Amino acid sequence: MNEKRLELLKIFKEIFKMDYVIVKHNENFPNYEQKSDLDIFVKDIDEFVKKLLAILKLELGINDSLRVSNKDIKHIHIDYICEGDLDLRFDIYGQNPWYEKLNIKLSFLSGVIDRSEQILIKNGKFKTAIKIPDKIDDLIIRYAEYLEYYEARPDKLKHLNYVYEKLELLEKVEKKEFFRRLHLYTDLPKSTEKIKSSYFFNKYFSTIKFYYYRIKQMGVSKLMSKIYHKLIK
Amino acid sequence: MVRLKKNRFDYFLIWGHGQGYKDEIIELINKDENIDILRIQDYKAQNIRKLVKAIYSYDYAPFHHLKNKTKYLMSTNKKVTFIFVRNNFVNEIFKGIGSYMHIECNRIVKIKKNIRDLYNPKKDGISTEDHVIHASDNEEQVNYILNYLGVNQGIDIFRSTINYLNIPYHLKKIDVDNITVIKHVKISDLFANIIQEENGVVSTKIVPLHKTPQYDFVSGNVNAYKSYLNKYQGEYLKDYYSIKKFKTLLNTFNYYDSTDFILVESYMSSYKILDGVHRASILLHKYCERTSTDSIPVAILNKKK
Repeated sequence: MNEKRLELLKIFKEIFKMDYVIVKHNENFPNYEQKSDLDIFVKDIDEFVKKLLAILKLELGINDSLRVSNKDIKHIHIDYICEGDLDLRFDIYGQNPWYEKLNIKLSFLSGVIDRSEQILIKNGKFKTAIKIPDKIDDLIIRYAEYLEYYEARPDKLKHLNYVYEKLELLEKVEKKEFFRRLHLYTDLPKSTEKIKSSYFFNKYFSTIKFYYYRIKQMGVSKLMSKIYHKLIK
Repeated sequence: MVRLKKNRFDYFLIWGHGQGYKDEIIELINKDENIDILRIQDYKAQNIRKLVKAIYSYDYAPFHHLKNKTKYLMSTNKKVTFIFVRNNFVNEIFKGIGSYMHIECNRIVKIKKNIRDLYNPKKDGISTEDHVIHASDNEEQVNYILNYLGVNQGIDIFRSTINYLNIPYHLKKIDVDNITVIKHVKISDLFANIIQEENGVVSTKIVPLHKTPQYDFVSGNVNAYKSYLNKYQGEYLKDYYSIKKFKTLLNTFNYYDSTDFILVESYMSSYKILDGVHRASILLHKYCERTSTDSIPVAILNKKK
């Protein structure tokens, strides 16, 4: 395991003035596990990535590299590769992450940034404020994360547990605000399951077949009489 | 009151009789901190009348109204220069009256007026109306002129898909992959494209960085770079280069202070510079003078597979 670590406080001190929040940030920040992600919401993804790359240019070791990939038009990964191994991924979103199980309004991301709080962090010689979502937005993001991934990734249950614990600690007015924002910004997706046309064909063809044989067995008048008596029952 | 910054593309056109002041005019345009020069293209019209008609075909006034205004152009040199720019802080105003009322950018109008005041031919010490420069009123005109010059994509050619790397528009044709790697490479191992003429044929050649006219300049041989620009600027070199610009870069450049990267692609067992030959030459010279290290972080662009 390599020892090289990015000085995250030094990096975030340089980008303090930019519009961003670190979402789901670890309480051990600025320490991080190798191969972990740092999820960041930003308002202007091009300017943020440009600035971050300029800072990482200074930090880049001789044997290290950065891998910048466009996952989507407003979703970029910057991987810091330390001597061939992934050290840390900056997972940067310029729009809401795409969820299948929950619709989130476009205005949510900029709202999270506008309502963000600052926390002062000290670590050795570095001291800086970082921006994180306020406690309500933090719960909504973790709840959305849990809903989206819990089936595929049981470890995402930690987000639900986190939401439970934190909700308990909220004041009454804050709990109200949580549900207000949840309903304001989210929506359940409409079902897009397609009903195959063959389903209808098979259903009605079998019904027609049934009555054809009944008519053949008992005749039309007897069949009509039977249907009539069943209806008046 | 806060005014929102809006940007758009514009162009300037130096007519034939303004060619003698081309460098000074380009310098004046470049001086505006809200204008980025994207492309300089020399053009030799086969028929000056046809060119004038094309330029003014998108004008707000009908062409017969412009006949007197453009009469003087018919006797000018057929060689003109187009300067395409990104206007980063558009200041649109209404101009003209009645059915000729239209929108122009006041920033562009001011630059144009300044150049005309300085370089329009004089008669009895007073500036004439035989304008040495023309400029666009709107982006549609820019798009039209680019198409006229054979650039089929029009202004889309200037729109970069990867904005955070400042990839110049002329590299878009490389069809860059979605993944970019940034790592240290040895400056002394880098190669670059230069333009050369052999037996009357102009072509590009790949040479080691230390054999480029740009490196010659930083090593003290200014004339080599000067002749290179004089020979190829406008026709083969379409970006904005000048001695003054390079001198300023040489005195102020700090690679680690800027948000830009030198862009390269794989070449043999090393890399070829796609954008940043001037900057790389400065860094190589600093390395030779032992004032910096031999390796620098560059962005490696990969062609799509």
